[in-house]
Formats: sequence, structure tokens, C-alpha cells
Amino acid sequence: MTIGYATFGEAIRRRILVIFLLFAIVSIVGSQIFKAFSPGEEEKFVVDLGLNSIKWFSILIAILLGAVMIPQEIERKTLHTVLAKPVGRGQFILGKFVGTCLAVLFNASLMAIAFFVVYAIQQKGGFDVSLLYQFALTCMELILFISIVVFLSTFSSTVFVLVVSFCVVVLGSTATFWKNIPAENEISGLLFLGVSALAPNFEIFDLSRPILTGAAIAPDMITYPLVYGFMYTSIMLLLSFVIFNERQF
Amino acid sequence: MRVYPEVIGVASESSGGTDTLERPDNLPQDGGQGPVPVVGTDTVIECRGLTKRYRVALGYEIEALSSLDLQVKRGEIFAIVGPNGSGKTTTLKLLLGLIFPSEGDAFILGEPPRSRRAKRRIGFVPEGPFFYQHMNGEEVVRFYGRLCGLRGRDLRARTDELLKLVGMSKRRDVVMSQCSKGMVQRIGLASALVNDPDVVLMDEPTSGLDPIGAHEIKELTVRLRDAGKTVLLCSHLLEQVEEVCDRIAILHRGSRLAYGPIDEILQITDQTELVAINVSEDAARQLAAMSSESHTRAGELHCMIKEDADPFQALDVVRQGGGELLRFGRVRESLEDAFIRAVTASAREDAAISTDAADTGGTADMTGGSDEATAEEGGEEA
Ligand SMILES: Nc1ncnc2c1ncn2[C@@H]1O[C@H](COP(=O)(O)OP(=O)(O)OP(=O)(O)O)[C@@H](O)[C@H]1O
Ligand SMILES: [Mg+2]
Repeated sequence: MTIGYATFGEAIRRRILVIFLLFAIVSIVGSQIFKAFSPGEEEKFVVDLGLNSIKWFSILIAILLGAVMIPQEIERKTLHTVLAKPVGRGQFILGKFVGTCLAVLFNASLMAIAFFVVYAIQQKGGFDVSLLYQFALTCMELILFISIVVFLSTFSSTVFVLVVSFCVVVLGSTATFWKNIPAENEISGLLFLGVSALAPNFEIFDLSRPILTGAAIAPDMITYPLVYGFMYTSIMLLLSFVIFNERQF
Repeated sequence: MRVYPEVIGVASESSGGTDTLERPDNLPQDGGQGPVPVVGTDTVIECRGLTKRYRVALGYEIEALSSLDLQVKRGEIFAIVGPNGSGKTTTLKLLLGLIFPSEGDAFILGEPPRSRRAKRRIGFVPEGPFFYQHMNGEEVVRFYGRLCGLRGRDLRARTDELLKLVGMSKRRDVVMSQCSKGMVQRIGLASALVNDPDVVLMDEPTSGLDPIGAHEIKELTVRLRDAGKTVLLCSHLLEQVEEVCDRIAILHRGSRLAYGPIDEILQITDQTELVAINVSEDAARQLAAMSSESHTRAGELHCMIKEDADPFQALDVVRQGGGELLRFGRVRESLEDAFIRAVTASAREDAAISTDAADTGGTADMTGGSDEATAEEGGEEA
């Protein structure tokens, strides 16, 4: 876990992270100013913008941190000195994964705190538990996503990881669209099926519709994504171990 | 260099984690001058037919290391020397399990390279080490200490000792991104020694260091050996290793050209060297006539007496010329000469092999049959 700690320490010192954190907080706080543009729906606007800022800025941070974490270690040969110590390769991957998660979640938490404060001020001290649920799911979503980035970076370069993880985000956030697209022929049908089966479904982590409409949140709307995220993350990490174990540096 | 011999623990047979911090109080205080410990017979590092081929492009492979046989004994300093790209780093990576051999086997402390048990007793200093830039020297050493399972007071004590040992205790707060090459190298060494290893592997430990820094590292290497540790180092700078190491292997394009104790590999040449000061001009002229090569540097007259001249006559000339004798005697060839000799011998052998169209692929073991080669190249000028 020493590696995780060092990774976290390295990550939170990155300037890019602070910049995104500032952006996110500005957009959350700024929602108070822009809410004037949607009269009558101020609360909806603030919640929508806040939740989305947390999610998307965190995903950006996760991509940027995750994509450099392991490839840089290999390139700069820090990995050689680490693996020369009694540290297993699996431990190394796990450490990097945990460290990146900590850094991303730490940032997401800061954003969330900013958001909750803004929300509480607007609601004159009010608080909605479903917002916490949403935050928990966003965290799970981020963890899942980081596991994919780690998996990719065990066998490819930073640029490749950046491109592919960006595609994963797009595919994952439009999973329903791909599943329901009318197939013109067999091949494209199979292709869409393959994509929707392999790419993670990020839509299930989104509670914004019930939150915005004020509908009740069924328990399985929370448990299902948590289990799904956990399973997906485990598989990704397992694959990472297998690949990394066979790599030569 | 400040001497803190007490820092280096004695190599313990047990690989336990806690007893590694014990240290003896009777270590030799001086560098290489102390009695050389009896070189143990047990083998610490062994390579058998170790071969590594890298795939460079589709269907193309280069053989970076060809069937290397090597044994490093407990308590010795062993050096792998060879020019750039000869496979030194490849050998170390194979020994650390960072890459896997195409053929052959490597063992370190009797275990396969990837064994965690062996890793607990290994220290590795890579070439041009690079550490997490946001940490300072002390944090880096502590980080590696934690990776080795050290915690709390043990870790703090060990870190302090090592920083002192490598002469970084006053500069421990400097962030790695602001460290000079030499400082990084020192921190690299401290991190490698943090688990009090029995075997230390060093890749180009003195590259990028100034003469004083390089000397300190060499001295430290000798002290490690004197504390019972086994040191395997790589270098392309022959003069960097010849003072300190016990045995060497010369690598060239992945093949082992020479292997054995350093004084067996470095042959005593037929030439006699004479160095004198305050010689009269006339005597100097006479000496120059007797020499194959002579020059004056910093007031000292350096002469290489011709093989057919009588060296004792040269001594008389110095005495009669009122000079003072500084040095006189046969010269041992430098590692560089031995290296060039080995490379040319192998090139000649290659040519012979290709004309015979024989495909033995053997490597010339220079310690064995190199006498003819020396005879032919003995006249080569320095
Ligand atoms: N990852 C790699 N892929 C392909 N070829 C490699 C790789 N690593 C090393 N080589 C090749 O293997 C050969 C030996 O390299 P190696 O790094 O072992 O040399 P070296 O003796 O350490 O040289 P130097 O003194 O420059 O450090 C070189 O020809 C090098 O180009
Ligand atoms: Mg090298």
C-alpha cells in the first residue's frame, strides 16, 4: 500500500488536477448566477449542473491521471527499482489503482462538498439524501472507469490509453443508444451487440432523472450499479494482473 | 569521504527481515587496503547459457545476450564490462526478472530471479536512477524502506544511517527534481541498500559523477565487499572498475570474451616504464634514445624503455644525470588494452570460423588461449 500512498501523493501534486478542481468548483458555484437563465427551474438547474460537473471533471481527471500513471513509471524506469524490491507485480498494479482512485475520489469529494454547500445555501439549509446516493454511485462509476484505464495502461502507451478511454466514456454513456440502434444487417448488428456487451454501461449510475423529477429511488437502482461496478472492476484488475505479469521492461 | 563503516550490516545467512539491521563493530576502516576477506566458494549469482533475443520489428530479432555463463561468488566484487550495447543492462534485467530469458537460466541467491524471497536480499541501483520527482531524498529512501517492510523507528534509523553513508544527510530535504546527477545517484545507492542486501547490483554506478563522487562510490563498493556483501557492477568505463573488482567478465555484442580474476586478464607487458624527475638535459636525451616513447609532463620524465634496451642501463643514466627515480618497472596492461586485445582476437576467430563455414558459435575464453593473441599484439603502441 506504500505504492498507493506514493501514487496518491504524486497525483494530488499535479497542477492539472488543481486546475480542473477549480473549474468544477467555479461551475458549481457559478450555477447560482446562471440559474437566472432558466426561471422557474432554478433548483433543477443547480442540481443538474452540479452533479454533471462533479462527474465529468472527475472523469477527465481520472483519464489524465490514469493514462500517465503506469506508462510513465515504465518509461522513467522507476518501475525497475520498485520491482527490484520485494514487491509483486500484482501489488504494484493494485497500488497504482488504489492510489489513483484515492486521488480522483479525493477531488470528487472536494467538488461534492462545494456542491452540497451551494445546494444547502440555496435550499436555506435543506438537504436531499438522494444526492448522497448519486455521489456514491458516481464514485463507483469513477472506480470502474479507473480500473479500465489501469487495464489499458498495462499494455499500451499514454496516447493510446487517452484515446481508448475517451471512446469508452462515449460508448459507456450512450449504451442504451447502441443497444437499441436498429441493425441494418447481420454484421452491424453483431458489432453493436459486441460493443454494448464489452463497454461498461455508465447510464445505470445516473440517478438524475428520479432526483430531478422527485420520484422515489428504488433500492435496486443503487445496489445493482454497485454490484455491477464491483464485478466489472474486479475483472479489469484481474486482466491487468495477468497481462502485467507477463510483460517485460 | 566520511566513513561510517558501522552502517553496513554483515551479510547474514538468514533472510529474516528484522535481524538485517544488526551491524558489526569490527569492520575494516580503510578502503581496499585492509585484508581481503577470503572469497567464499558458494555461488551467489549464476547464469547458465543465458540468452536474450529482443524482437525489434516483425520477424526481426537481435540477440542482445548469447549464451552467457557466469558465476559470481559470495563476497566478491564482480564487474561486467563491455562497450555500449554489449548486453550488460540486459544481463542485470534478466537477473532481476524484469525481462525473461529466451534460453538458459539465471539464479540469484539460489532462487529464480522473480522470487520475492531473493528480492529481500537484493539491492539494485539502475543506470541513471530516476525517482518520484515530488519526493525529497529522505522520502525516497523511506519509500523504498517501506517497500521492504521497514516501519517506524527501524525505518527512521536506517534512513538516517544510509543518508549519512552516502553523504546526503545535510541535503536530505532537497526535492528530487532539483537534485544533481550525483545526488540522485547517491540517493539511488541509499535506496538500494535500505534492506541491507546481501547482493548489490549496480548498473554504471559512476557514470555522470565527477572524479570525487566516482571515487566515493568506488570506496563504498569496496566497503560493501569488506562487510561480506557480494557486488555485481556493470560499466563501460574500464578504469572505473579495474581498481575495485576481483573478477570481471568482458562482454562484446552479447558474447563473453573474457572471464576471470582481473590480474589474470590483465597481463604484464614486456615494456618497462621509467619515471624520474630532475634529470639533466643530457641524460634526458640519452633516455629518450633508449625509449620507444618518452615525454615530460609536470616536470616528470616518462619513458617506455625499448624492449631491446637494457633497463638497468637506463637506471644508471638517471643516477649519473643527477635525477631522482619516481617509478620503475614492468607495466601491467590496462583493462582497455585487454579489452581491445580480446575484441580483436574474437574478430579474428569469427573470420576464421566464417572461412571454415563452421557454425560453432563459440565464444573465445580469453583466460585460456590468448597467448598467441598477445604475442601478435604486444608491439602495439599505447
Ligand atoms: N527493449 C529492447 N528492445 C530491443 N532491443 C533492445 C532492448 N533493450 C536493449 N536492446 C538492445 O540490446 C543490446 C544490448 O543492450 P544493453 O542495454 O544490454 O546494453 P548495455 O551493455 O547495457 O549498453 P550501455 O553501456 O549503453 O548501457 C543493444 O543492442 C540494444 O539495442
Ligand atoms: Mg546499460
